[in-house]
Amino acid sequence: MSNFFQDVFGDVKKWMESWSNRALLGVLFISFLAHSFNMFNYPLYLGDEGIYVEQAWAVVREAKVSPYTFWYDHAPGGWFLIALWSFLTGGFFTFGMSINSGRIFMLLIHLASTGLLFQVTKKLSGSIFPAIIAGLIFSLSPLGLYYQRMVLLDNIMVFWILISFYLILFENQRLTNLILSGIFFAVAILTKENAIFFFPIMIYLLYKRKNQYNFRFALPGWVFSFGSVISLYVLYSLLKGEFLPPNLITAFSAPLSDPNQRPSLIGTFLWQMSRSGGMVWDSQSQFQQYLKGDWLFRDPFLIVSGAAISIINFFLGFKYKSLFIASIFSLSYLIYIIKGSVILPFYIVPLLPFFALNIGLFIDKIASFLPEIMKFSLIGGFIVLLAFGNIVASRDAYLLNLTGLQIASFNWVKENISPDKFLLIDDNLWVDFRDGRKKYPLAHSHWKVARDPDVNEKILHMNYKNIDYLIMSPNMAQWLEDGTLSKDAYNNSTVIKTFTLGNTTVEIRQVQK
Amino acid sequence: MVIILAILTIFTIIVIVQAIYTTYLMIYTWDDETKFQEQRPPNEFAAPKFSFTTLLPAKNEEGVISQTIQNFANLNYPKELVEALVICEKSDSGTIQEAEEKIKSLKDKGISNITLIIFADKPVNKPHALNLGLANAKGEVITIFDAEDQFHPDIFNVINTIMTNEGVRVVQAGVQLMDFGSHWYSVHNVLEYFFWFKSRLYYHAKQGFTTLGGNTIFFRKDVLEDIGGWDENILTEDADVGVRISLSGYKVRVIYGDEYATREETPPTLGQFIHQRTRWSQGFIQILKKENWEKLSTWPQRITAFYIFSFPIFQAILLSYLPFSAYMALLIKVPTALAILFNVPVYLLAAQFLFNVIGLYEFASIYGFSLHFPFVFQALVTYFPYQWLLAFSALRAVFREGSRQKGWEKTKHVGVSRQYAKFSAGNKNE
Repeated sequence: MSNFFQDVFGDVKKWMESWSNRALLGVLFISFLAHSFNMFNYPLYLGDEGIYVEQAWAVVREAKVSPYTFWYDHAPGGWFLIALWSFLTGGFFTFGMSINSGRIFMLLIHLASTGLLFQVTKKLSGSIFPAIIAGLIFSLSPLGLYYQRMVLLDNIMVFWILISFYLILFENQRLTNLILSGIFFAVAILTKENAIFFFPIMIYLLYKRKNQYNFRFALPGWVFSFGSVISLYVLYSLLKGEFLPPNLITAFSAPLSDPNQRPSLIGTFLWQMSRSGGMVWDSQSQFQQYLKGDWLFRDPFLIVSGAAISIINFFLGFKYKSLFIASIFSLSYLIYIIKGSVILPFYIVPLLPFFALNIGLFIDKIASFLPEIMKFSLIGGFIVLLAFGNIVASRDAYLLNLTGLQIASFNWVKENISPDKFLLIDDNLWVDFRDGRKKYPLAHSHWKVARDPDVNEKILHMNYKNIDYLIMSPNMAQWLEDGTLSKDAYNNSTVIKTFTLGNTTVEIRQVQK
Repeated sequence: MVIILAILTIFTIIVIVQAIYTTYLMIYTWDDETKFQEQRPPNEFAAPKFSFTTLLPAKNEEGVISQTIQNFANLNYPKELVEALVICEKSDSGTIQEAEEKIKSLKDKGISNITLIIFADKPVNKPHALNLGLANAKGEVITIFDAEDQFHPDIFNVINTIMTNEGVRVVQAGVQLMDFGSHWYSVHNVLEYFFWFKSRLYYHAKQGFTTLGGNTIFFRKDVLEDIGGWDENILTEDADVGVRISLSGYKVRVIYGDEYATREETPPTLGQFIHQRTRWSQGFIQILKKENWEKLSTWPQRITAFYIFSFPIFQAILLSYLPFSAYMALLIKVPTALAILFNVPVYLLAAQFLFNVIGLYEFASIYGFSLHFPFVFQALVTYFPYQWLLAFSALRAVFREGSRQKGWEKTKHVGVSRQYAKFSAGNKNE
């Protein structure tokens, strides 16, 4: 056994001899500090985080893909992985609140993605410095810090995209790695469907290997493994009898809006296709609103320089192939973001590693034209400025405790409200209410009260008075739609307790019967 | 019902593992360039050093034996370092007469290193003929060619180079069926050889255990003497020799040079094909029963051996299971997760199907054939019937072995491959 440890120690020592590996470890260490420090307190537990954790909970506890009617809004690849993580780490409450467990998992996913981004940048540039720059931008960006700490499918999808890309780019000769790359890319799509916008790039990268000895096997092998994994999702819907909508005329209407229309894969797909987030030039479009109100607000440097440099790299790419490859990753996804689909603020996440990649490669290219001393000054100065600027800009992420508010309201409910009451809640605390030490079997998500007939018809009999309390997390009120039981309950309720920090408020409301 | 589902689940998982393994072996040599280059023959030949004895066992081969002898005479290797022994059974007068005439005509041209050996004792089968040849061989290296084989004129230079440079004592070189368009089953048979010799055998040799082909196999004579020659009671003596060579600790080097592969033909009729395949399957079952593979030194070797030799039985079980699985898939409602699992083998079968089609294009491009879509389509349509044919032959083998029918069902040869592909390679020594 001691030989075994000696061997391992020897291998580690050898690995550490390389400057590239030392730099990688350094970047990962900084990344770990940046993402882990204060991660349970900031940002607020988001409803979307709760949705994925509760679906993972359903996988582990109920052997179902969702605790409610599954309507094919997302493929379940992401929360299968969260379920596996929770299963391996002893349940959902190992790290306190259920979302904390997911956030630890996100930290690991982020570290893996950072490592992959470092290696990919190093491979494309042939140098360590751009890899350090890309790794640090990706890890220290205030925008990245905000969304990558959250339990979001986009973060998991980024990891699968990067590993799929890495396998195509790196292990040049191995067919099995390409087949794995196809499988991982499919898993990326089954985690979050918008990964499909990277598909043409993958095919392009494979096609570039056309003179390789195993090309005949490589491209079909990749496409086949990709297609097989994707088709499992289709197979699932077929086996459930939920592939096609029963009625094509109402297929474009919102899933679950018609009690007679059961959810279906194609139905949801058609509905998603028919929705619009507004054209890019429309100042009311989601794109413009999120750009001005969220993305530029959180990280103007990364958004502006990332987009601009991606465009510049595209043109420089006619001369430098690696810049071309990096730029098309950014640009293809950028097209998706601006083309007018329905988007949410965190849909920006998959762009971040590729913006970082483009910036890293671009600075390296510029530096390569400078004399040695200026080159190191430029790169060194950039790294110091970047790190300092980002850390200052991210001070909230390191200092604020926002989730304390949500936890306090949760504890208050547990002490003051009986578990047999019907609670209308946000998804962020769903698992904690349902499966904590004191269980609230009648705690339901406001989305499901509004839309899912299994809840509003079968449990509430379409009467808002059957709801007892509303636990209003910050911003939840804006999602309550007129004409739904959720909104009716809200309108006929009074505040019985308030928790406030700055301008962030959690209200506990009681419904007037 | 729960018990049936549990059994089905376990069976499905075994099928999945087996299918992943088989698929991996199909593409093993294309997996990375190091492997791809390693199994290629040398580009430069070493000076001739070893002497060779070629064994040509022949039975009812009057149609092709003369050409085979001529091919031997055409080899690019010093005549004083090679000899051929044509071995026939006494009653096979047609082959004997053809061989005698050819040997005489060559002698008239000054080529006198070919000898005819006629035997009258039992059993009348290939391993017996080979043992006779071994007893009379003078060369340092023994090799076997079948009567219908078309071997490359430089094959001895290739083997001499590998044995000289690498010091190996056993070399298996590629064998390739060529007549992919002659019958509906030919294309599949051709592809089996293509993947077997180009990829799978190479993998097995790397594992330290491999079965060997029936020809284009080269042994140092002392290796054969050490293991006691061929077992005359086994229908697949070549595979059996592979086990005993591995048991004795000799390494086997496998190479496949597209241009140097020995060219053969597929069986001329469906009946002959089934006979041949039954014989192979039965031979594998016999080796499995012989149990000396259990003494192989490592677990991976033993598992590989068990996997190879039990494959016919596995195939037979699979065929018997098919109607049952169709019934389960169509008529029984099972949980969704299990239904997805039961479908996974279909995906893996599709992967093998895809790699076969790619293999067909690879084969055609290597050997300079053009493929037309109707032909590829026909190959697609006949893929499953071919699998059923293999499974049927495996069932037949199990039945024959069970009922102790151990006769040799010999394959007829008509020399189709000689019309299909001629060697275009030049002589590197010239």
